[in-house]
Amino acid sequence: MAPQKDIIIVNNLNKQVEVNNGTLTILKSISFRVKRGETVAIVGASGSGKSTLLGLLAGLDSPSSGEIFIDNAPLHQLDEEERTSLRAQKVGFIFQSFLLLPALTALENILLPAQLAGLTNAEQKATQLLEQVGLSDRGDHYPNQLSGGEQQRVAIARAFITQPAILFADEPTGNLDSANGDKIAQLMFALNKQHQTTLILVTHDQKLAAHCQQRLTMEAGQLTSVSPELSNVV
Amino acid sequence: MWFKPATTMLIRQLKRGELTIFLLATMLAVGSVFSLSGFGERLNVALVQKSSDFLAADRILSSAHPLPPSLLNQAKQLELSQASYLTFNSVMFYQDEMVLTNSKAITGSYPLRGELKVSNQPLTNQATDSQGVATFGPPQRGEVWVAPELLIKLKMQLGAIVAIGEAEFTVSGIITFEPDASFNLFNLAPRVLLNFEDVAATKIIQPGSRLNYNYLFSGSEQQLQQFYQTIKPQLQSNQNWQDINGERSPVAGALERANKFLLLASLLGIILGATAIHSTAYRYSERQLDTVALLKTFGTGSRTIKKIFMLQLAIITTLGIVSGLGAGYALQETAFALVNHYLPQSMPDNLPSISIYSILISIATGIVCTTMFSLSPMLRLFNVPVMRVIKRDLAPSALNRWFSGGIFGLAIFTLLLLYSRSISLSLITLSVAALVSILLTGLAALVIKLSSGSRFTATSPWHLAIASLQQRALQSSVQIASIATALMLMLIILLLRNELIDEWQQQIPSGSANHFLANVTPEQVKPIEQLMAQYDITTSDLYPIIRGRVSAINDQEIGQYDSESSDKNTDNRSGRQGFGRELSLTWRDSLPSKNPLIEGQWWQAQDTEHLVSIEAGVAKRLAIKLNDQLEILIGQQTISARVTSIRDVNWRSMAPNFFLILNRAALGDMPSTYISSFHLGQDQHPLLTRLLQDYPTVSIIKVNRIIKKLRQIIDQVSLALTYIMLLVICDRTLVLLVQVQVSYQQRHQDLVILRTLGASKKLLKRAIAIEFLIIGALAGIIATLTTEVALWLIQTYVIKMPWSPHPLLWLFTTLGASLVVALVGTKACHQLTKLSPSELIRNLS
Repeated sequence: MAPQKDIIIVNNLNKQVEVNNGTLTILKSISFRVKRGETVAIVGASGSGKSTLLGLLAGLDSPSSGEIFIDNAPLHQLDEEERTSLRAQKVGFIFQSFLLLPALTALENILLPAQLAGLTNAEQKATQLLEQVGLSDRGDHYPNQLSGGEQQRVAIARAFITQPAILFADEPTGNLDSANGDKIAQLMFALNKQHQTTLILVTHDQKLAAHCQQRLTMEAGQLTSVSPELSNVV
Repeated sequence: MWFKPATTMLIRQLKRGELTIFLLATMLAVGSVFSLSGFGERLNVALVQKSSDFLAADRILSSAHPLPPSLLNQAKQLELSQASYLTFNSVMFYQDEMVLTNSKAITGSYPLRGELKVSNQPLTNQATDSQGVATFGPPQRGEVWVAPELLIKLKMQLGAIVAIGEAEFTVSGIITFEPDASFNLFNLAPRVLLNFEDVAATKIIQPGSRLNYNYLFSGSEQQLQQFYQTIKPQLQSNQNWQDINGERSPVAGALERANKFLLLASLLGIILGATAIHSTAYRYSERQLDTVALLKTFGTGSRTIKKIFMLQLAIITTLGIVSGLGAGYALQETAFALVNHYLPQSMPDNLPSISIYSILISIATGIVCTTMFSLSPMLRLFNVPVMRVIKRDLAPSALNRWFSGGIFGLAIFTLLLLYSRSISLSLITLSVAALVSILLTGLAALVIKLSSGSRFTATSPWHLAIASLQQRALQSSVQIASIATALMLMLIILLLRNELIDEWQQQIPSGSANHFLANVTPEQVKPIEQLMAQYDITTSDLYPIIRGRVSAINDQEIGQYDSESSDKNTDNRSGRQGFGRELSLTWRDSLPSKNPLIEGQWWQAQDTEHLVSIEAGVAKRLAIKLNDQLEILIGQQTISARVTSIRDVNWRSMAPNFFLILNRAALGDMPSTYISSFHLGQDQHPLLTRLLQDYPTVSIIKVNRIIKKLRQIIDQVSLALTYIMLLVICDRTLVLLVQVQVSYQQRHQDLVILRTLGASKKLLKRAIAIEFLIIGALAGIIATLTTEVALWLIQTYVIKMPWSPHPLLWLFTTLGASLVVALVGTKACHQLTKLSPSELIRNLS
């Protein structure tokens, strides 16, 4: 049984995919742990397997072998429906391409996960979050009426509305200029602190990675370094 | 908890116009099925009612003997309207004169359909049928109404006392129009109408008398069918149940072809509507891939996701059906208003109401279309990998092609079956559609492949356009094939309509004969022609008429052949009657028009052998082959003639038709009378009086009123066909629009790249226009080719009318299609070419 203080435990994780002429190894023998409330950056070159690892941690995909425990739940043993249910209870997301639904307003986009989860006071929470991300006067605007930075702020508010235990962010500033990127990073860390969420983010941005308490560096599907301390590695 | 976001998303998508095409496609499919089925059904009922005037009833049961009262009671129980008449030949005497007449003894409120017009005033020089008043029921007992020529032939006035058999009657009216007057040129005795109750007093009916009892019925189609089913087992071989479609009239032909056209147009419309829905459903599901991936990421279960999209689909379906029914109803009513506007007198007062069947089939169309055609795209949508949120190029794996093809085929088959209610017709249409779409796609792909090979230059809009077509080779060929199919169906409907209308008009061209002269002796031919010339009237071909009876075939007595047959087919019955007793023979040197030879050859005028040409139906029934020897009894003389040809006879043409035509050597020397036809103008009516006075033995048969009515019906059907064609054109335009829009997303990406790389707006606009021009032109050429083939097949095998090629069609279709597609295509992409590269990139992301 994993100790309570670790919210994510990864043991000897492997991911292979079938391609035309054989098997391609994307992740090889990955192991690490993340404490509750910790901020972790996964860094590495393109194609190093960062996004695949994020997808596996969030239960979007299933590993070929190895173990993943999310808040004690053995993710590697769950089927798709069970993983979906786990995501609904514990996980929030921020994406590089924002992924707001173009047909819904900013406020409705924030509301959507809360409504689907059947949360009470959803509207009140959404309005509050909209205010926190500084867009209280843009609630009825559609995504195409917002700038990239504004869209990502809406996406951040949407990620926090269900009060997830873990927030996964895939290149959250990747589509933004540096000024907007800095603002988004500040906002994300501030909300993270406020909601005491564990943050796992994939980024190329060293500055953003430097904000995180722990940094996992990937290279050709393998975890090459864990900094600042190695004690978390099993 | 899922209901609110589901409806919010749907309402927003509707507002943003993302579902407009999907909704429009559903609405149009439902609307066109509703208006076509409803309009077709109502028009058919209206036309059949109108055409029933020619029978004076909806149905007639004719019999050589009176019907048992129990049978008529059944009709009474079913609340059918009834009347009857008995026809027999009798001699009418007036003072020292006598004439053979054809008497019709009527009961009840004859006629049940159409109107009988009788004048109780002497006739003026105006057209006969414009005089008199509509009358129902028989004359008073002791009175008769007579045809106008009887007054002239017997030199009598209204009020004269005439004798038929042993009874005396007062002539109290002149028949100016009889709805079911016979087309039979050989039944020439003038008409007398009397009360059925008076028949016994004439003592004309004796054992062995040749009588014809006709029982008239009218009521709803359902009542009539029910009655027919009840009496069918009790019918004897000498009893015959007739409706307007069984009649050998041009009306029956027009109705039959119009119905086939309507059915064909609807079936093709359904297939096209279905493809439009399928394309829009596919496009809709493609646009929802991110939404589903995102919902899955949020932790929404697959059941909830399915519920959300099923609810959205149900709402779209309902909206599509409701709006489709509304639009279809409006279209039907507009069409009827148009028909009534142009032909105020021609439609029955009580238009049939919309049938439940057409409403149900329209609703079913909407449900089948949206659910079955959305099934494959939706299943694919639900399979979208959730990792798409991170790896943006991940798409759901394609469904098994056989599975999606099977569902698509099954859905179309269900619709066709629902509509046509015929498994064989549905299977044929489906197979042809599948074959055509595969062929078209292959053809388009081949053309695109052949166009490759030229060196690519990024500065030439032509090269860019061709490169773009080749890059999306499969998509482009499907697009070309779809546009070609839409065009092809549009052309088929358009050309078929014109061909049908032309043929109907030709059947009764204006100025065609509206009167026939019969019983003209050889001596009368010249003076009558001179009299006609005085009135500027030219007569048609003269046909000599000789009465004769076929007594043996290849030395076998005719009776043996006759008794073998027991079927009740109208054609055969007429043939048998002809052979059972005397029939009208003629002789000619040349083959009459509209009598194509099926077998054998026509003779030379100078042939000395006795030769005969026989009508195909009779030849088949009596198993008469070429070179068989027929013995024909004419008066006391028997002649033997060899069969040298078998002819097809168009019994629906308003011209003298014969079962047997012999050559000059066989009949040239026989004493004969002649028949001829001519066209009488409005102001030429005094000629009729002159003819009847000067040549009392000559019979005149008037068909002008009937021709007028036929023209009205044909005009109505033509209008209906025009309306259907317009509807079909709307349908096809939508399909075209959908097809052009399908490539929008990918075109967007290409434009982003080209614009970013520095391609000018002008270059891109030109390239897009050229690409669509090429697509349109290819679709036009392929559509014309397939239209010609399809029309040849349909006209030869389905509608059975001659086919001729349409050379100008190639030019017009190709030019028209390329221009329209280029216009629609560039308009659809106009927004994209207007944007700056940065705006394009932002929209794309």
